[in-house]
Amino acid sequence: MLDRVGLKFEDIISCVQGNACVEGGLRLPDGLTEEEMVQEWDLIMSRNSTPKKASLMGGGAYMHFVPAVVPHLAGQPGFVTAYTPYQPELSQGTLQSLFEYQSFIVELTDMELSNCSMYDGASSAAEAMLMAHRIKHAPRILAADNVNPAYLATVRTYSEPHGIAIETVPTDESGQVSRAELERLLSAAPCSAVLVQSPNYFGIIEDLTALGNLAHAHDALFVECFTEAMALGLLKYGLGTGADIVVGDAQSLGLPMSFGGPHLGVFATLRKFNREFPGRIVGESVDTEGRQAYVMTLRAREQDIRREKATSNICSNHALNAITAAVYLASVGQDGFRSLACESAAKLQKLVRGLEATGRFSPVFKGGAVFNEMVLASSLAPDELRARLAAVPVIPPLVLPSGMVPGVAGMPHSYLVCASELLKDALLEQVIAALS
Amino acid sequence: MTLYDKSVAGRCAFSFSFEEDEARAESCIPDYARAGVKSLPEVSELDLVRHFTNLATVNYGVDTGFYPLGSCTMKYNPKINERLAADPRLTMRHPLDDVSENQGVLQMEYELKESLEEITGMDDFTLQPACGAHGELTGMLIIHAYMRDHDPRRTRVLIPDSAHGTNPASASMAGFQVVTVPSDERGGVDMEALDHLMDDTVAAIMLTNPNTVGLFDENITRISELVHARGGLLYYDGANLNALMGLIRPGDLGFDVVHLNLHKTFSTPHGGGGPGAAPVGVKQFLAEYLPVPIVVQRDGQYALDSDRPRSIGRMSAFYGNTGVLARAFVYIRMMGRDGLAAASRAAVINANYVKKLLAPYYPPAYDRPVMHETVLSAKGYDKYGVSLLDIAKRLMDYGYHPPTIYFPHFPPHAEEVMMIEPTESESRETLDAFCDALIRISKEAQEQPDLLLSAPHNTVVTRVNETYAARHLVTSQRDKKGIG
Repeated sequence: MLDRVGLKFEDIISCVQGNACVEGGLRLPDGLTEEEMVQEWDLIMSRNSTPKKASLMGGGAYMHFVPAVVPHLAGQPGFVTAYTPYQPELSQGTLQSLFEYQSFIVELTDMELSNCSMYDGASSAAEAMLMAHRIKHAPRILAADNVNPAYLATVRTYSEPHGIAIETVPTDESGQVSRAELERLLSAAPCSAVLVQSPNYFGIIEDLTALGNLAHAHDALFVECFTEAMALGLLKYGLGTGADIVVGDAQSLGLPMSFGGPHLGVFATLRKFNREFPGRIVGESVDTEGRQAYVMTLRAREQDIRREKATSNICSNHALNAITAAVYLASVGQDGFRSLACESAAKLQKLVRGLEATGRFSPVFKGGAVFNEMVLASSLAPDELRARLAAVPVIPPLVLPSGMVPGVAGMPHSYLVCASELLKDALLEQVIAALS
Repeated sequence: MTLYDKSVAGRCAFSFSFEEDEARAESCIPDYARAGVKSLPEVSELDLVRHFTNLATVNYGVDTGFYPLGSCTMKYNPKINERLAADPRLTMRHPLDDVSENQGVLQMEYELKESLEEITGMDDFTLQPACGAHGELTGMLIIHAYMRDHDPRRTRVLIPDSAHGTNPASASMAGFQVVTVPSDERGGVDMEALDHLMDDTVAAIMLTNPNTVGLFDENITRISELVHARGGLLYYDGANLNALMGLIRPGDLGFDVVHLNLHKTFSTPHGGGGPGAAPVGVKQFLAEYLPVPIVVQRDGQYALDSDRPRSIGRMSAFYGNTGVLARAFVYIRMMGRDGLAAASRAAVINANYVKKLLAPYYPPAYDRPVMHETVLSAKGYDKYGVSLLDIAKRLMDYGYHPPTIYFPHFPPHAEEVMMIEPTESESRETLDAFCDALIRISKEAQEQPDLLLSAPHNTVVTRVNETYAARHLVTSQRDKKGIG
């Protein structure tokens, strides 16, 4: 090829001369054929334990039933091998699918505007804090201490270089954010945002309206967060509870846990903040013939135009996962989604009743309403619990570090227990029997 | 039509054997928190399948045709990557489960980390960042934390005017002030300007090499010496690493921090805007600042290490986009030492081939050989009343995705430039046909400019009105209902 255009490869790369080049090739193994690769992969993956049928572990990643149409449709090459839809004439498939995703998120979060995805719930929460700081300017954020610890850590990472102080609001004995403490902290100094998760890390449903009223009374933005998107099927968020921003993770909507990624960051807000939010958004428009068409819009906020003055550096997001979530939601439909949320909630109730009946488990937060996760104290130590569940095809519950939740007499260990529609009665009985 | 438009009450694509009483579950939720039924479409499974199959069909991807989007490295995404990454033994792993259950996935990540260290010449890596911009932010936060501990006066970052927009946006998000460095007449960093700007308030310089015009900065070793001698660090934006594998390594050139776009150089699909993955590599003296947790090997077992007191913290809830990392792992293993070097070599050959064939019609921004991509100008066509945008839209009628247009925007090449990156995946026949199309469009511009001005004609929609979209903001079905 180079002969045809009169070039020599050595001349082309002469530009690198005088700089330290690789001598003798990279120290990597020889390439594998596809067939060898399959064997190599199989060898490595066999070192993982066998996949389970359900998970008693949640805490930010959830196992749910995924209908066959979901990976099939979202996995089509037209979606998978496309770039960001800069050229709308060739990208109507991606653009319309993202518009549908945005529509569903607007309905489920009850907000006015959804972007077309962030990386995950934690980074989405962190971006919400930076946005609140851009709007309110106060270098202080109040976050419930019962927000998922990994989310709080991510919020701190993003906020630290901007000199934004993150102060935590304690949890009361019911497992909810202490309203008295929140009010005291809000009165102490100006604050850009109040970040609350519901259901919170301990599984307890917060009274978002009451918390939002407090935040607004002190001129802070109210940011609602969720880690389990299945809760959107049953619980109120957004306009109905006074949110300025709703963030969360939507892995539960048709995406596998995949060892923590790629997940799907949800970011929804009010129309009045349409110059302030991070990330990309698709809008409806028309083509030159007057036909309906979709295109990325509100682009003037973005890094490729505003550079260092952009609202965020985000460019690629998790578009394909947003399309996956859209397919999932359309597949289960409005009644199916509600039923799934109810099934998860009911399965948790059944599991907790069964575990309490063994005499080895007891709820830590009495009286707090829960969705599909709950903290239980237990007399069983983590090693024993894991050993007893070894023959049951479930992922054991998450062990909470000692001191994170109040103690229960005679039950020194605490677990965050999760249930879902996959915990069928037969499996649930096996779990109870193993722990009895 | 959207799915809401196709929705019919009572239809459902979902089949599941519920065991619990729904009303009882509802009664467990306190009134203040319980929502009414939220609106989602009700469609049959076949309607759903046709809806999204038709949408995927009107989309253009690498599997459809040539996608020479400069700077985006739209190479072929091998199907074996997809198959292995869909392995339930990988996808059904809970990130917080005991590491003894997850030894295989941790081994895969550890070996990927080792390969990336060798390819880049860096000492350690985090696999956590979710895509290029997230990697940049991670890298710049590492530099921010390092300077906070060692030289807190250094609050500024130098970025060439040719850089991607994410560079200044990421530096700014990491708490730095951005200072732009001009390019010299050869397209590289202006050494005099650098000498002038590089003082004791500068924490780092962010560079893409080859840069966004496809040129390898020959002064890179001098830049490295100058910046280091004055107490600054070098950040490598790996967006263009596809030119260099097996030839030269950023670590050997003096870079202290690098990020890699696995969805560019390492063949993972772009998905219409992610998910990607962007591991960040550092030299040893910065390793303690990497985000937690880090995958480590101890006594033959793999583990996740979070006990790193100087770490910048977490960049996301878990450990990164494992599903994407798996695809890159498979790519690197199958390509091997010689395959990776051959890929970079072919990418460079293809870019120079296209540049030479098109030079008489679209003059190159710089008259010297390029690496993996080339910037060409369409400036002369304004005399026929057509712009670069018209040329790009006309390319769609010939069945191609246009190159990146109107980028990079820095003097003296601020106007009417297109950036073509053929990648190594494409055959000579594909490149010849693509160049023929651009040459024919060049003739059409002179003889039938209307053909370009009204293009594209063969796509599912014609040009989309971006101003209308911004002025009549409709970003959801709820907006549509509000307007209706």
